[in-house]
Amino acid sequence: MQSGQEMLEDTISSCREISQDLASQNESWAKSIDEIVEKFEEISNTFFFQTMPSVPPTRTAMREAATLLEAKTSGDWASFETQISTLISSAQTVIEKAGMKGTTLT
Amino acid sequence: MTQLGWNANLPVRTISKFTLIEVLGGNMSESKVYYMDAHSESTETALSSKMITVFDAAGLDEMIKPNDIVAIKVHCGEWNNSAYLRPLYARTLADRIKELGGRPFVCDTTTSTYSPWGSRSSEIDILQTAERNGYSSATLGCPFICADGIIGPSDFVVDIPEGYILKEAYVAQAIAAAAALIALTHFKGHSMGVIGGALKNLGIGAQSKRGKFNVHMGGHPSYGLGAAGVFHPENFKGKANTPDWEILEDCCPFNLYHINEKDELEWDGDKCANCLGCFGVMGPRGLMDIPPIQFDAVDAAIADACLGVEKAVGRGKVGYINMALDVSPACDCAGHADVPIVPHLGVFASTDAVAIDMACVDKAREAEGIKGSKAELMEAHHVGDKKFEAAAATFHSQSEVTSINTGHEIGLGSRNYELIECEPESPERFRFPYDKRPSRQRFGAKFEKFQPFPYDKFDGKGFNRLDVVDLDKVKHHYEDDSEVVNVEQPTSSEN
Repeated sequence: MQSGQEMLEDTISSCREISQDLASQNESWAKSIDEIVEKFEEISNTFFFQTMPSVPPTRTAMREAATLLEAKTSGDWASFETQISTLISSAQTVIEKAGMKGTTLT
Repeated sequence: MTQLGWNANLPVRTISKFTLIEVLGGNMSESKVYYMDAHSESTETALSSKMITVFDAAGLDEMIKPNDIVAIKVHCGEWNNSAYLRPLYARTLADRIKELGGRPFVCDTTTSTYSPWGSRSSEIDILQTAERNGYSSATLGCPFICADGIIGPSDFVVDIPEGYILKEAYVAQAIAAAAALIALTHFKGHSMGVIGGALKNLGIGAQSKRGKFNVHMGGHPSYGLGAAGVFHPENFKGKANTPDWEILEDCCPFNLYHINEKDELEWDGDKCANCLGCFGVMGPRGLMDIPPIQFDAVDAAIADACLGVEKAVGRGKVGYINMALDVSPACDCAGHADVPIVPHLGVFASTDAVAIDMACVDKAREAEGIKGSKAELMEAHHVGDKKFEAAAATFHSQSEVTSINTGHEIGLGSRNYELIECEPESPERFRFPYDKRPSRQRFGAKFEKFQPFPYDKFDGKGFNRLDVVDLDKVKHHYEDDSEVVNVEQPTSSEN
């Protein structure tokens, strides 16, 4: 099973590809993706991503980033518009969970 | 008949009994685990009835002699946990032990201060938490005690030269003093142990507080947090930028974290006892790298410490019951309980802690994970998946068989087992014990004297009700069909 950290790195990598030349299509989309990359780099290698609980939310973000990249590659901008909202929401979940509020390890 | 009305002449069992002599005879190549599934459709297949059936089938009844003080070790559940075993099981077992002539007590031990806000870290705490969770002498019919004293140093030290890591164990004194011990375990997951089974119930749960520091690798030169953890004071942003900075100091009951006059975070790691209290505070803030190897070492040490308990009580005087129900991903020491990861697996009994845990792990692997549970979230819900490693462990590298394999290596028990399915016993044995007569014998005269049905009203029908109503109307699923049939309401037969 891929670790949460590996999944986060894959997500960052997909987002970087998505971001390339995206501004020419839509500046707002490009800015959102860049923000995700920036925030994910900030939380990369933190304790959460060494733990198993990081897997489900990070995997969701990783898969959605891959789907978004496919939409960009195929030029399916109608799908892209829907899927970028989904990715933003998932990215916010990852960032929130990375704080591990209330975590008890026994 | 016995005091509680159980018939001592038990029906002939359909399975052969595994005697203690076989266990102690040295042939540990294959142990026997007695099992009943979790389905229930009658008195004799009630889970509490099944627990007694496998208890007797495994020969655990033969461990109890008249006047024996018998410890029943349970996990009474952390404050707000809701997956721990219902007190019904401990009560039923205590009644059975009394029937055998023993004097049972039910117990748990003080915990390590593994959370800054733990609810079982002292005897007073544990008794109050246990009572809230339904464990008290009133409900159990026998004492509920904290087995290691008010703060937790009351223990009996036993040497374990066979140990894989540990060479001594600090067994809670009340447990070490018992003539026999039954580990009544809720089998579930555990973030550090990966599984929380029989081995952990005794390997952690039957250790005194200092015994827990021993098992948790406190002060260990290779695996302790002081040695293996990497402290990152550079990530502390100062009091002004850390609104809840006080918890950084307050999470450690040994007073090892300090923010000095230069507004720097300091840690006296050499004195770390591995109480675990700082893990959830320091780890997520990037102030400490929690070492996965410590978790692996603890998992191995759990089996050592379990062996220590068997040696303290007496080998052959410890029996195990695993209730694999409400198989939550986290232990009952968490102050919450998530959706179970697999359906109820069943009821197990054995004289072998290693075999019984292996049998439960195997059953979990054979089962489909529950939809919506952590097993599915981790995509480890398929038949054959190692569900505890995915859904319960903290780190990727942890194994759900570390404690089991260690127990096998050191001669505590065997991971090779024969699973023996038990047949239900007669329902007569498990009926309400205080009066086993059928209803007419019990209530006929009482009902004549205190008639509960008003035969004298409404032409003998007793109550004011409509004679006929349209029941189909209220059975109808209106979301399936918007058409509503209006039916004229019938009138009452009598007003």
